[in-house]
Parts: sequence; structure tokens; C-alpha cells
Amino acid sequence: MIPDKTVEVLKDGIAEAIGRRPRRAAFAFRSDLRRWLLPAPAAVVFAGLFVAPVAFFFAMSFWRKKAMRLVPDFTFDNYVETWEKYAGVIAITLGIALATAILTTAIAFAFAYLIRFKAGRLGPALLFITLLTLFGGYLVKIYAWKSILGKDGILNSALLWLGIVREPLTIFIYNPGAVVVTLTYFLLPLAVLPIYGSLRTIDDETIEAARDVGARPRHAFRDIVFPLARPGTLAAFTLSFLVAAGDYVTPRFVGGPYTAMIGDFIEQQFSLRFDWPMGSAMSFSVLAACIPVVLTAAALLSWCGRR
Amino acid sequence: MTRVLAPPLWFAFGFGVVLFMLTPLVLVVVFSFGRNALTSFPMGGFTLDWYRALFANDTFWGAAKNSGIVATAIGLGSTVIGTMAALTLSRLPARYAQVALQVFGFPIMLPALVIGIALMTYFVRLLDVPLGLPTVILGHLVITQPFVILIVHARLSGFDYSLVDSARDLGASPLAAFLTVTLPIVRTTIIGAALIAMAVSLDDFIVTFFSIGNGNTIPTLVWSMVRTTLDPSINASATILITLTVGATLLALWLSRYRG
Amino acid sequence: MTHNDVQQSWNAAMADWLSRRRFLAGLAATGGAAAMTLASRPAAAKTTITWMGWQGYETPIKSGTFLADNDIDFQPTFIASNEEIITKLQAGGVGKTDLITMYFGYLPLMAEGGLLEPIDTSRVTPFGDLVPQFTSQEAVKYEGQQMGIPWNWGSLPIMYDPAVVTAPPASWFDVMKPEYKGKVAMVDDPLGNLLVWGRTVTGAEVGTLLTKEQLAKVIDFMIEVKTKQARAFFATYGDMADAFARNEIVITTIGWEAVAVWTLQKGKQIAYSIPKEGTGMFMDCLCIPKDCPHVDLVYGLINHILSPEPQKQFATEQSAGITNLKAVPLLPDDLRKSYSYGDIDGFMQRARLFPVPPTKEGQYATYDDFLEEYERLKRA
Repeated sequence: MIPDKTVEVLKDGIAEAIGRRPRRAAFAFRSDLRRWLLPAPAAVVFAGLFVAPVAFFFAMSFWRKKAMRLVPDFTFDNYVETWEKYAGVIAITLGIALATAILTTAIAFAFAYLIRFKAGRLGPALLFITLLTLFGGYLVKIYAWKSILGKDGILNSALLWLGIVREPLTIFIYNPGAVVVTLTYFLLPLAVLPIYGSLRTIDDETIEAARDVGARPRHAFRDIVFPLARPGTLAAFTLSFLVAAGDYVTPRFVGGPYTAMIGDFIEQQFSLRFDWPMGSAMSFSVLAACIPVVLTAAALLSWCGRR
Repeated sequence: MTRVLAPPLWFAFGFGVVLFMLTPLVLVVVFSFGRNALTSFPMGGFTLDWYRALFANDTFWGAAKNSGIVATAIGLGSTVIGTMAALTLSRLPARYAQVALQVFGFPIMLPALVIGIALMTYFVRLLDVPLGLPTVILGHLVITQPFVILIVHARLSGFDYSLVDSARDLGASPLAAFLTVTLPIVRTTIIGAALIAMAVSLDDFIVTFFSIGNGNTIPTLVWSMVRTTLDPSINASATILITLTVGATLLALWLSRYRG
Repeated sequence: MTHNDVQQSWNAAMADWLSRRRFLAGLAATGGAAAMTLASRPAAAKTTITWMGWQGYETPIKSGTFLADNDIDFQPTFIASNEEIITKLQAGGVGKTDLITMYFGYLPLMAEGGLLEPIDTSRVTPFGDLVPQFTSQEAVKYEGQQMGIPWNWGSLPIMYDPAVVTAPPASWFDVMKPEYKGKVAMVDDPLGNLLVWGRTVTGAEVGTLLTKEQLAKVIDFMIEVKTKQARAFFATYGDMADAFARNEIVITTIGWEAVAVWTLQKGKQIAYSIPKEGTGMFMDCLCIPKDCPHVDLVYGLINHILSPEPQKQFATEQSAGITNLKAVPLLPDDLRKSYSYGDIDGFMQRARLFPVPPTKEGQYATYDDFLEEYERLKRA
């Protein structure tokens, strides 16, 4: 400690002798440096391993593929081709993603509300179960879903046993509905957390106070709970929507013959067609198509909150 | 407000969601003990054969080793880097901190497919770096760092920095002040953040697939097994992981209850 | 955007759950211990041999004591499709990969792209014992040099559930029968689908050399199967096997002998046959990628894979065709018969070995044209 101080004094002395930096400024400079050194590695990771690759990948969308080689260029052909060929697939993808995001957000909201306001001391346990679903492995769980939804699956066995159906139904799997259900399952924990986080910022006292002045529970929800829960809800929606729109594994395993999603085609540009520029243009086209949906959701949520 | 699940409707809803979330997990575990190679009912009796098959499988151990290396590197690297960033962000004015957090959070919002492919093209085409475990670790840093920053920052945002300042006034170096004052308070949060980061890393398939080149981690091994045959030894590996997580949690809960 | 408190919400949720709980410390300790155990398991000072191929194809490599005798740490990368090997080699795999197994049709393409090392057949001891019809194929050579060693083959038969489809389907077009509506399996294997349906739909002599019109006809027909009859367009053969075992499907538009082995493991007996139109055949080669790091060891490994005992083990475990004729007498009767080792020429009349569509524009639709059309099938 003392050497440190000594160094400090010496440095200040030198600074004064040279006549450049007064004491305070020297100290501020040092602590500024330290302050910016701490987040530097994270910033380097973010800039060097996220911004730079995504920017490079974006630039590649204007390249061309020529005889198995990638040629740097500035052409919009890949985008034109994307919209000509994949508009239908993108539409189906956004439809499935939207259905997933709405279902996920709705369940997550109610469940987070339950944890925060209704579950009492069971709350932490429910939160723990929610986090637990993050474990166990993606593909292994997809196969678990197959044994639930399949023709010989648990759902059909239950329906047969209850006498609701006579023949096992084949409508639970290999169709868009199965994709929505499975994606909802995977996204639910990621959606519950931000909504719960929002709800947690609401004081019990505030609601009690509203009650005390005679507000009905419904009004308390509308005027206090919902506005505060809005940011978390929007985060949950956005995350579910974007992740669902980019998924390609789930539709391959539980989707039917007509459930090809755009992620599948993007992946094939890399694994099969060696057409990276096209894959890039397709990726950014989907992301662009997602923006209006997210903005609409944001507008709808704030409109609901205002009424 | 804190009545325990009073209205039956809420109870039914909560029960339904818990059933929805737990059934697949329970099935994963149950099928790991079933005699049949098909993960479906009836399972044909109880067996531990899939666990034996798993432990006898060199390819699995190779993949487990790679997963272990990556998860350990992420548990250390992502946690240290993310915590350092969170320490600074928590001292910024709230408005700037929120913006910074949003920016740092972008990688969670983008589909993993885009991140994985972008990293692959970047390494291969622009930097000419050979793919391998190091590139997987770099890719996982990108997708796990936001979790660490968000979690640690949340804990630190209510942190009373006057404690640190007094330690500094008493002559402690910044590192000493961090180790003696800040760390003991936020230690459990940092450990939790490390765990989440490791869980995300262990379960990631897409980014790994594009950035690994040769070799397997457990998720990419499972993926390639789906291409031909997937048998319940994979359920066994998932069960071990789930058991480790839940078991350690329950054990620690139990210990902390008796020690206060 | 109104994302203002988004992260804060996240934070709050996580922090709430995490910060109050001491037990996470214990959890971390367990996790750390587990990671260390895993990391410390394999011994050091071994030669790491990296290999890419289908799961199951590593059987002959692991058979016997070759790996142990040569102190090899064997690192397989299992593939999703043959094309994936090309991608992986292009994406930095060259110089880091020792051995691959590849569908023979792609060898010219890969040799041209400089991804392969020529093979010195004098160092491949059993080379003279290999099925001559395979080693003499044009596609396994490039500019006079051997690029691949045939080691495994089979056909793409129609597969069916004998409990439902009681007699072997006479024609591939049986999949359009009304009683199979919603019970037909398709598999997302682009080239495989062309091998089966190219000749079947058009009657062309070589199923992969089609005019653009013929190609469009093939894809149109497959779209009809997909929209009218298919239960699912399976991502993989393994996924199709799983669906057979779950009784989701009864007949297929493509097949692979190995699928019958996998379904049997899952407790379901299925059957396969070659309909009257015939089908395609596949033949996979052992290839040494460019800049292979352990060439000498790899030649030893190739000789080991081709030697009778590992060949026999591979054939019986995977129900596969093998190429070393010296290993054939070791095989069980049924395998010898189903692959007609006595009359390979006859077999190759029923299941034909087609090249990959051409890469250069000309009379026939190119490989790229085909992939383009195939995407139309997937989008439909």
C-alpha cells in the first residue's frame, strides 16, 4: 500500500515539475484509464467476435458465387433472388414464429404473474423448474416430444385410455402446430425470466395502496402491473419471435412435409450449395422482415397500456 | 397478495405449465433406464445398459472432454470478462448503463444460426484461422458474455460503492478493495452467472457446429447420431447432467437450511 | 424502441433468483469437479487421427487392436451429408484431417478443387483383391491417379413395413397407392433422391444425366408424392428409421440397407427390395485429404480397414456391402446372397452406379441446376 502511495506522490511531483497536470487531473486520468480497462475485454469480444463477423457476413451478401468460388462484388442479385424464390417460405416462417411468440409470451406472462403474485412461497420453486428446462439437451428433448406427440405417443395413449378417440390421431406431429408447440417449450424459460423481472420491480405496497383507495383488482392490473411489465413482455416477445424465425432444427424433426422454414434453406446454402453470399442475403432478408413485426408488437403493447 | 395458490384456476394453470415444462425432461430421464432402444412406451423393463454403453464409448468420452474444455474455459473466461464489464457499467449513470447493456445483449437476440454462420465465414474467409476448439470457445464467449454481464450488473446496480471507496481511502489497492469488499458480496451471483454461462455453452449446438471444424462436443455428437441411430445412451448422458445440476442444488439447499 | 428496462428486468429476475441462493456455490463446485474429471481422462502422448464419415463407418477402424497397437487417439467427426465433408475441408479442414470416407461420385469434383491427395495403390496391400468393377470406375481416378479406394457399397431399395405392405412393392410408383396416403416417408437426401427417381420417372439410361425438362419432370413427380402422400420429409435416414419404429410410416421413396438394422435395434422388423424399375447404388471410398498430417499411419489404417476381419465385422454389424473379395467367404449366407457377391455385374444392372450430374453447362442439367430444382421440391 505504501509503495503505491509513494509512486502516486512521485508521479504527481513529476507532473507538477513538468508543469502539465495538476494533482486532481492526474488522479482522474489514472482512474479513468482503469475504468475503461475493465470493460475492455468484453468490448473487444463484442466488437471483434460479434460486430465484425456480422458486418463481414453482411458485406458478403453483396458478393457473388462463381464456380465454387466466392467473388467480392457489390450486387443486389442475392436479395432479388431471395425475394423471388423464398418470399413464400419467409411468410410461412414468420407465421410460425409469430404464432410461437404470441403463445410463448402469453403463457410466460401468466406464469410469471403467477410466480410473482399468486404462488407465494412456491414462487422460487416454480422459477427453479423454469430454469431447469434449459438443461437436458435440445435434440434429446425433441425426441422426447416425438414420444409425446407421435401416433403411438403418450398423448394418443391418454386419449385412447380416456375413450375420447378410438383410433390414434396423427394430427399431433409432422405439421406446423407441432413446430409451434415444441418451439414454445424451448422458449418458455427465456420468456418467463424477463417478464418476471419486470413484475418483480412492482412494490406490493403500490398495489395495496391502489386497493386501499378503492381500485378494483382489474384496474390495479391495468394501471399499475401492466405498464410496468411492458418492457419485459416486449423483450420476451422479441426474443421468442427472432429465435423462432431463425430455427431450423425443430421443423426438420417435428415439422411435416409442408413445414420448411427459412433457416433450413439458409443452412443448406452452407452445407450443400457452397453459396455463402446467398445464405447471407437470405439471413438479412429474414431479419429485415422481422423488424416490422417487432415494431408492431411494441406499438400494440404501448397502445394497450395507454387505454 | 401472498395467499398460496388460492383460486383453483391459477392452480390448474400453474400445474399445466409445470407439466408442460417437466414432462419432456422426465421422459428423457425415464427412457434412459428403459430396455428398448426406441424412446417410447412400453419401454420393456428396467436396465442400466445404456449407462454402461455410454461409459464404454470412446467417442462419447472424446466429445465429453471437448465439452468439458469449452465449458471450463467459458466458466472462467466469460465470467471474468463479463464481471469486469459489469463492474464498470454499474458505476455509470443508469441511463448510459441501460444503453450499454442493451448493446451488449444483442447476441442473445439474434438467431444462433446467423451468429454461427457469421463467425464461420469470418474465421475461415476473412481471418484465415483454422476452426477448432479455440474458435468454439471464442464463439461461446460471444453468446454467454451477455448473460454474465446482465446477471452481475443486476446484482451490482444496487451496490453501495461507499464501502469500496472507504477501503480505497484506507489505502487498499483497487484489486485488494475488489477482493476484500466487492467480491464477498457478489460471489454467489458471479458463481450463478458462471453456471448459466456454462449451461448455455454445454447445450449449444448451432454455434458449435459451425465453428468446430473437426471433432465433436456432446451436442454435435448427438446431432450426428440422429443422422443414423439415436439410442438411449444419449438420454443417459442428459440424465447425468440433469442429476448433477438438480442434485447439487438440492444438496446445497439442504445444507444451507441446517446451517442457517 | 421501448426496450428501456428490458435488460433491467432480465437482471432483476436473474439476480433475484441467484443472489439469494448460497447453494449455487455447491453447484459450481460440483460442476467444476465434473469438468476436471472429463478433461483429465484421456492419456497424453498419443497420435490423434481425425476422420470424417457416417456414423457406423468407424466400425472397421475400431475393430481389432490397430488403434491401440499404434497408440492412436481416434477422433471421428460424423457427418450429416457427404457434401458436409467438402464444406468442412474447405472451411479449414485441409491439413487437419487424416482420412475421410466419401461417396465416389464427388471425387472428381474434390480432386479438381484440390481437396484430395492421390493414393499410391502400391501401398494399399489388398488393392488387388478389391471388387474390380469398383476400382476400375472412372470417377475414382483423376488425371490417371487413384483418388479413392472403394471400400463399401449398397443400394437404395424401397423399404416397407411387412405387417402392412404384405408383398414386396412391384414398382416405385406403388407409393402413390391411395392406401398409403399420409404414410409415405421421404428423406432429405438430394443426390439419393435423384439416383432413385431420375431414371424411374424419365426412363433415361443414366439417371443423373437428364435434360432440364426431364429434371423438371422428376421434381414435379416428387412434389406430387410430397403433397399428396407423404407423412414427413425426414431430415435423415436415422429419423426415418425412428419413424418406422414408431409406426408413423409404412413405405418409403428411398432407402438404405442400414436403416433395416437400426429399426430392428428399435424393435421393428422392416423389409426392403428393389422394384422393377431398378434403383441407384452407392459406393463409398476411402480418401486421403490434401496435406494429411499422418500419411504413413493413414496407409496403415487403410490397409487395416480393408483387411478381411474388419470388413466382415463392418458388413455384419451394418448390413453393408464390402469390397475385399477375400472377406466375402467369411460372411454369413444371407448377406452374401442379398449383395449377390457371386454376380456383382447382375446386381449392378438392378442397382446402377450413376455419376454425379455434370458441373459444366452442356446437354445435361448441371449439379447446380439439380440443387436449384431440388429446393423447389423442398419449398413445395
